[in-house]
Amino acid sequence: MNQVKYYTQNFMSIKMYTLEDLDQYQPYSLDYNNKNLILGDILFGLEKLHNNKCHEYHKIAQNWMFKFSDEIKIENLPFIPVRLFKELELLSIDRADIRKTLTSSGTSGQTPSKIFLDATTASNQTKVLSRILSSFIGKKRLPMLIIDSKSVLKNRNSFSARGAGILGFSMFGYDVQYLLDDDFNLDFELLQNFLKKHEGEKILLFGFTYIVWEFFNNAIQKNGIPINLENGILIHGGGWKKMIDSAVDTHVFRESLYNKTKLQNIYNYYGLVEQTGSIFMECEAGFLHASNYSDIIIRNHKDYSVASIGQEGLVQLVSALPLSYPGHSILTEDLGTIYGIDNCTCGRLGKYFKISGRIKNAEVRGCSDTVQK
Amino acid sequence: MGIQNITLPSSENVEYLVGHPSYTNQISIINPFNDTVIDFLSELSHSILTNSLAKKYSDIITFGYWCRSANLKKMKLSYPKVDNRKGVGIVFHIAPSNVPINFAFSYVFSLLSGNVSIVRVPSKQFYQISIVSSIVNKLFENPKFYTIKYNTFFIRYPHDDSITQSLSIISNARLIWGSDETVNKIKSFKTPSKCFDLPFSERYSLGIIGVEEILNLNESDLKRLATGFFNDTYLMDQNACSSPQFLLWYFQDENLIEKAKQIFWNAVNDKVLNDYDLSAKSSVDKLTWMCLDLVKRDEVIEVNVLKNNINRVQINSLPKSILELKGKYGYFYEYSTCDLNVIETLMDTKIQTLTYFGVEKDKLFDIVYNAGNIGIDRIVPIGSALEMGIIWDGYDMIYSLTKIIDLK
Repeated sequence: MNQVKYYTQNFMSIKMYTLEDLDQYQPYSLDYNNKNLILGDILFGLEKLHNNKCHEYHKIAQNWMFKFSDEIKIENLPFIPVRLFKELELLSIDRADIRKTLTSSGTSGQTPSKIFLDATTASNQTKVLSRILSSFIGKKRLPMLIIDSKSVLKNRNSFSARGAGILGFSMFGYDVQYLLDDDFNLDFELLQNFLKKHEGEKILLFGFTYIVWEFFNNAIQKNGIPINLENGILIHGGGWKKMIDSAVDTHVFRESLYNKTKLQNIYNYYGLVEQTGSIFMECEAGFLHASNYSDIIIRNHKDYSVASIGQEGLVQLVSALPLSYPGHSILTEDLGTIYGIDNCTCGRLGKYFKISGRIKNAEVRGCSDTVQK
Repeated sequence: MGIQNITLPSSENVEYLVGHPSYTNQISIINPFNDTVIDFLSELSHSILTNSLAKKYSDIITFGYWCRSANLKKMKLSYPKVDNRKGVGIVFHIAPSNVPINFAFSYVFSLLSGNVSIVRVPSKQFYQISIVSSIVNKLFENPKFYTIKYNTFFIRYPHDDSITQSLSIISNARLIWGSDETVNKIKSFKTPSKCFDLPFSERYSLGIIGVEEILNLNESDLKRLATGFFNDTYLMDQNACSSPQFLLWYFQDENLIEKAKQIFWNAVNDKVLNDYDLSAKSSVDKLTWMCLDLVKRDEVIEVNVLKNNINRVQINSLPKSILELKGKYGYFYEYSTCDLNVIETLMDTKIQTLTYFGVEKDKLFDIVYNAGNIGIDRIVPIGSALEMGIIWDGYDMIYSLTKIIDLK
């Protein structure tokens, strides 16, 4: 209780914080109280902004019914379900100011989410991604391999989450090469030439978890050509959903790649296309971490109360970045567990957690749902 | 014996849970409420109610209870003049793929009418289906039930147009349960010119509650009402066609509405808290719908949530079609009125059941009966929405599935 009191007292008396204030700190250096103070202030500023600028958000926020107290704390922000970005076009800017539209591919047959970015939000995303990443891989640009096909980037104005991820991360490399051809075959020749060219250098690799597993790991296994990536750093994300059947988890994934390529610097990340930039990186101890720019709250689905540490529940994510659309506080369809705050063995401050999967369909069906099959 | 030369798909292509393709030369069309049939169903009921496996499934038990001889005898009394009727012939049933026990009701409707039944059960392997099938097979070992045995086929096959077509072409009637899409797909198969379909497609249902009557309830009656409402809705996640998704509050004194709602919903919540397990998916779905309703619907004036178990959306005017107002897992739209005639404006063709409490049923019947449109086939008290009856979707199964031999 003390923590909360400390925070709210301070909150009322302190000036308005902005994103720039966060930039004065290392991305994982704010403890619980300070983070609530600064990030909390920024988030309530965003809340006000989107309430004023986004008519749809206003209607929801005005009728919000899951506030458990009147205290101004992060947990009391409304959280909108992530599917709203599929069902509605949510903007807090004039359409004329849209610079980029991100779309998520979604499951086949579903409408994709649409995220509208203005120049400021887009540049904030890049800046924050860079701050988070460089704290893991250093500030220097590295020769880079993308484990994907270039065909993913067909339309330059409307990016899929995958395309946006690739472009976002490619900024941290130079001599960027795509390892998969249009049919997703691994180009061994390109890979070997690249490794020869950059022998002895650190190399950055980026790809989506499933693609890395299916078209990189498995291709190397099938082909049998020895590949040495001991100087490599792999960053991968996008979720494990497609790999559940083959029982591949972060442990199996790391071990398999290490055995085949001696690659040992492997970092998974977790994030939403709705909150691009403020991603959650997995640390050496195997936990995902909230940086200063974002936070995670686990909620009990029965009443949306905040779950205690160690308890699994629905994942709510908050981010200081979304200015052009009301995505600063989102209830995802993922399940996760927070393992602690400010005390991970890796030394990073903030909440650390694991994602355990997606919510499942368990409904009792009726006669109207039948499909001829 | 036997009717025309008919051939059923071989057991290589189709799984016969009950019956065999070779029985087709022994089938016979019989009279409704045939004594052997009544005898068989009574024994079926008894076997189900005493079967330890069946006891685990409340839907099988409900079915078993429905078939008990007292119920059938009572039912028979409402058909005093059927001795010039007999079954229409071969009835092909396409059971809904997601309601395990529905196939059994569909079968019994056509059996009671005197028909041969070819029942396509869901391709999903529900335990309920195997349990009922094995009980039926056991009873068929008794020679006194051979007539019924030769008239009964429970089949299962995966999506296969040629099989559905080969069964449609020998049908005299088809009972098609399913989505509009399924029903239309099945209708597109060729049938004999005299064959008719009874389609049981997607429907929508609503309820009406009298405000003043809620306030007059004593505690135990309130509890009973809440349990009934729970069974109508939460038991099937509001997915049944007859589960209300929309509630009309009928009032005389406007000032009492809120009080009545509070009493009613608190009682429902007590029941839900004990007997309903809300999944995370359902909880997020309901939150998403609430946000969408707030954003997209101008008629929404308020939303209320009780512990995520009950989500209520208050509307102050009716949308063009109430069919848009869809709720599941305990998600309800509420509208108050002092004029019962508003029901007439709600009567879309797709509306099936009107459940009521605290409103005179005769008044409801008069409004529905005299309205010049075609919605609403069923007016039943709250608590009975899911009770399957020999009259369903506006069809009397006995009259629909029999023909008259006109003697002059």
